[in-house]
Amino acid sequence: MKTKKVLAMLMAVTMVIGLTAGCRSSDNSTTGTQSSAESSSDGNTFKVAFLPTDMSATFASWLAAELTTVFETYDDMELTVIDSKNELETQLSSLETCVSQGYDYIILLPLEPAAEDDIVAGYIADGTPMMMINLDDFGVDEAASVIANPYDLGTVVAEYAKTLLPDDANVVVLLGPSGNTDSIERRRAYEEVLFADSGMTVLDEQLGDWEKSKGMELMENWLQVYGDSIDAVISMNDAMAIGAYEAAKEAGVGDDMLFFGVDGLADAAVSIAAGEMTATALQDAQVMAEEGARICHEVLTGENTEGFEKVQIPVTLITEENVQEFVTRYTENGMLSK
Amino acid sequence: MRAKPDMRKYSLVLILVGMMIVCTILSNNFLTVTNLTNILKQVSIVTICAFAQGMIIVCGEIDLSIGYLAGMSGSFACVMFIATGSLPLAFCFGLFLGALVGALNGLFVAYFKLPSFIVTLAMQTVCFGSICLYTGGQNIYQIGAFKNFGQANLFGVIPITIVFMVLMLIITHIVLRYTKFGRYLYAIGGNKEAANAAGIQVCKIKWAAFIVSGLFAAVAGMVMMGRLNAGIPSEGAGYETDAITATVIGGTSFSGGAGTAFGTFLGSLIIGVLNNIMNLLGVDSYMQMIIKGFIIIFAVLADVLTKNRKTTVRIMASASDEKKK
Amino acid sequence: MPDPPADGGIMEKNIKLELRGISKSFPGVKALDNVNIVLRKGTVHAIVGENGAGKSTLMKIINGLYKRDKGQVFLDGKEVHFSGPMESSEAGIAMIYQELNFFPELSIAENIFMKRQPSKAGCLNWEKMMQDAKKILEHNALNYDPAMKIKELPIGSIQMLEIVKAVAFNAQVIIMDEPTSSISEKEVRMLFDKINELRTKGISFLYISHKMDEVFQIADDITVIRDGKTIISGPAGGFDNDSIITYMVGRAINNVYPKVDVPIGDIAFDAKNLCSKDMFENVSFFVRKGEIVGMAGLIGAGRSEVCRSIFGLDSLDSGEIVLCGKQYKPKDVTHAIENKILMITEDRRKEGIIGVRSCRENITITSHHINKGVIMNLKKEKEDAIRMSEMLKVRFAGIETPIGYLSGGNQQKVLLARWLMLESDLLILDEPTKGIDVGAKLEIYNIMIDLVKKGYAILMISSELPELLGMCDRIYVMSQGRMRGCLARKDFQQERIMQIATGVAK
Repeated sequence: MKTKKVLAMLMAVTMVIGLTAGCRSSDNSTTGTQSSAESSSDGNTFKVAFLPTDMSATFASWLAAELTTVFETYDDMELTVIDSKNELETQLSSLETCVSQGYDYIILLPLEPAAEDDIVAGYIADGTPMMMINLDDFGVDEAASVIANPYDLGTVVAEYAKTLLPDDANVVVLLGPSGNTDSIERRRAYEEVLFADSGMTVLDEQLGDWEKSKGMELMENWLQVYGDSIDAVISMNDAMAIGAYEAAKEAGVGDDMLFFGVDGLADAAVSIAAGEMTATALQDAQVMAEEGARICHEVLTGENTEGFEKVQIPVTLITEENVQEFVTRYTENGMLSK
Repeated sequence: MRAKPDMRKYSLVLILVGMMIVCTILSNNFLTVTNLTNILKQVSIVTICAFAQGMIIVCGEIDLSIGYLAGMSGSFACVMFIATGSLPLAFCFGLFLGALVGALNGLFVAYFKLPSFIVTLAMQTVCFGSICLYTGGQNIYQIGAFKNFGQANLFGVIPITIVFMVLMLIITHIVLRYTKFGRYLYAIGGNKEAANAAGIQVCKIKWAAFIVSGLFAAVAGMVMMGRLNAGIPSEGAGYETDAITATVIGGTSFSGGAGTAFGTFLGSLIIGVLNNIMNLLGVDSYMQMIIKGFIIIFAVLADVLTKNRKTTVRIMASASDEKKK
Repeated sequence: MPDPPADGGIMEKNIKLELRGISKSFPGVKALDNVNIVLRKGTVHAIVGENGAGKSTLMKIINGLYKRDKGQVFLDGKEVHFSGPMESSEAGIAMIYQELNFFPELSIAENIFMKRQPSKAGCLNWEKMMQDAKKILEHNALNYDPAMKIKELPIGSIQMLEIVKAVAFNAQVIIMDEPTSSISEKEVRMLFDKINELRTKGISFLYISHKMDEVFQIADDITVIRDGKTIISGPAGGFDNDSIITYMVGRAINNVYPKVDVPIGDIAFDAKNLCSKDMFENVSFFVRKGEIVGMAGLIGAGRSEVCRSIFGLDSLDSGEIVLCGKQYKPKDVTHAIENKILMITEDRRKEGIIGVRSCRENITITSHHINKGVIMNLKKEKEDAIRMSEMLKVRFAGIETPIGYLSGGNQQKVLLARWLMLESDLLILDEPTKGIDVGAKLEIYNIMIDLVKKGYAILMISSELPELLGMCDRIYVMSQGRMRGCLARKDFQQERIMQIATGVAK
């Protein structure tokens, strides 16, 4: 009992000290956007935090790696990466900590942009400039924004698919987790570009939760029902598309169908190069990181007087024609082993 | 009075057969060799996890690390294969990691008396973290011949995943029914204090149980990665709960001391058939969730009702006992 | 449609509770058959019978937990139909179960006022509850803080609290099921004082017990139930020990203790100066082959602790043990079993049986130690289990019946069978007949005699002195963690043992 009490006391004391210390440092930094340039003129570098969604997710960790690389080229900026472990609650409390710790700039890869808008707007108003990267619902006017539009990602692949598929094609659709913005936007692009003004039939569409195994399982079952009448698998990400291909290959019909994904990462590049998947669209983390770092630097040094900038980076269609370029690139940056 | 046969086992078979008859009527794609093979393939990994979970639940504990452990050991085995090109070596390495994590779980649960719920929950992140640390959060592609663990066919017809599942079924059945180790698991789960007072080395057996569970999870993980033709650590997540569902539907008592390998297998098949028919019929994704949830509740309800029936038997047994005096 | 009263009008006023022609069947068995009981106001009415005779079923019918098939219950001359314990307790019938029902993590006050919490504007009125609880406690000379967690109280006090609580909420009839099975003798005396006090205040008791001496101490009337039937009912003065037992078992048990003289052999077990911190000190004793040695003492004297540490269940700090001429140092149970020391622990349900598993598995669980190899021989296992249970006359629906479904006596026989699968140099029995009915007790005694005839050395702990006196060759007496004396059979005397055990004599 006694030791417990002592421990509790100790913890309380540490927390109080931590809080007061946090307050003091936040006092220093919350003096407005303009003065944040001065706070670095004590001869220090600017402290920048990057809050990705989930470092165990392929794209987020790739983006983090690219950002780290780009930031190394700036002498006056220093990047810290704080994982949100795919939990909104964690991301919000990290955000709070970063602000109170006196970070000069925060780059947020949001989990739920709509839910985080008000908080982000509040921090910006209090003097910490922020950027939404990769995902943004444009709910905060003063936040910088660097995104590849998920709708565009869908559009690029959908347009390519349109050139390959007959007008009366039968397709099955694999969706991401329920309520996921990326999945919804990409699906909307397909609806408008591909399905709306053609005679195509969507045989079935199911949630595959971004998972390869789910894509595989659903495809196995679909092959039972529809057999080789399926002309194409339209998947909202690559993992599920590749899973579906594995199932089709095992059933011996892998070469009779087309497989479309989105994301354009290493797995898709390999798959397209091997003639399995048909096409995917890439949101290029490298370009995104470069743009993000540029805006961040301009805001901090006062070069950008407005305090924010919104850019959309172009999306790239990957097909068998240009895939080799990406295989090389992913091999070079270590995402693919030789 | 005669000893009653275990109605439980037969009731599950009846439920499964009943479901299959209904499915056959609902969809003419259901009762085909390929579709039934598909179902077996689809349940194989979760069933192997469920065998592990079943053994742990039988001895009165729980292992929540199974899914992530499968993801980790499977992915590391891929790494090992890419590095060495040797399938046996990769397989052994995966098993080694499984046993290692299982041993850690067991150490804390059995010897330090920590609750298994917490220990194995914590071990989830340890497993996931260590594989992500190694790969930098990236998945492992181009795993080459490693895919044979999940995509090869035995004699050119029987999918290897099913072979693995049946193999693990046989092993689990033998362990639980014919070995002292299995008998001790039941005893410990039934009454830990009594098992100790009967000279069973409770700590040692529990420790061993977690190691076995780790080994099973590793096998599941390697089959999983083979089937996915990639090393994807996050794919393991969630298998532990699916495994719990399968074991509980299969009649394993959450309070420990009861449960069989075949029960777990049947429980897993019931879920597999359910998932399959809903997809064959094109049932809406959200509707599927609702239906699945209720089926699980009904299965547990059936469990409780069967137990009530046993209470009646109990009254009769003790009463007829008195009569004889 | 009330029947006309069976008795004359004179007695009518004094009758608090009457059961008339109660019958109850469960699927396949008639648990109660035309039971009649008359409880007079301000008296204690003991209900005795073997386990499974139907006593508990009867109590559950009175308080409404079970529905009766036939018959009537009259409370204060009016027929009543209770739909459950809540209704019966509102009518003034309180039930105190053998396994006390309380919430260990809650305070005394909360336990007293469970389901009757005073409230203010829909919220719990803590202040009033604490005050009222304090009043109740003080009124009954219980010196406890009402905010104390109930699990910190000794079991006897918790039981007392149950009675106090019942009375505080106007119970007129208190039903007690085996109230003395888990409390110390001092607490039993306190309990009886309380019952006597309440009896004079007009409260009536239905008292279920196995223990004849207690029944004779406290009861005004006695009813004997056998096989769900009322065998005899009348004033306590009309019975004696033997007659009650005869009524209970339906046959005269002439020799309650089938003691036979067996030639005594060499010393099998010799312990010197056993010590365990805060438990016992310098305990020395020995047991010879063919001997049944008893250990007497009050609860908490350290008898079980000594035996448990020998068996490796608890730790032993120092001391020397010689087992059949060889040194033995307790390590754990497995080690003890390997050295042929076996023990049946006191708490059968907690440390004995594995309730959900079959009798077969319960019998053979330890004998796997002697079989080498990983795979078991299930056929041989089954044969062995059946052979053992036939030898010990275990009664069950089949060898695959879960042991939890058996009666206490049969469970104990299964546990004996478990150890008899192994060789033994010392067999320790801790309260081997606790909670077992008379018939089964005799069978256990017979098994013990058979064993010593085969040369077993048996060490028996019992809190029932007559049992020790009847069965043992020698009795060691312990008190407060020390060995106080040893009596040979010729010197056996109940008073003498009690004097040593309570520290009056040395």
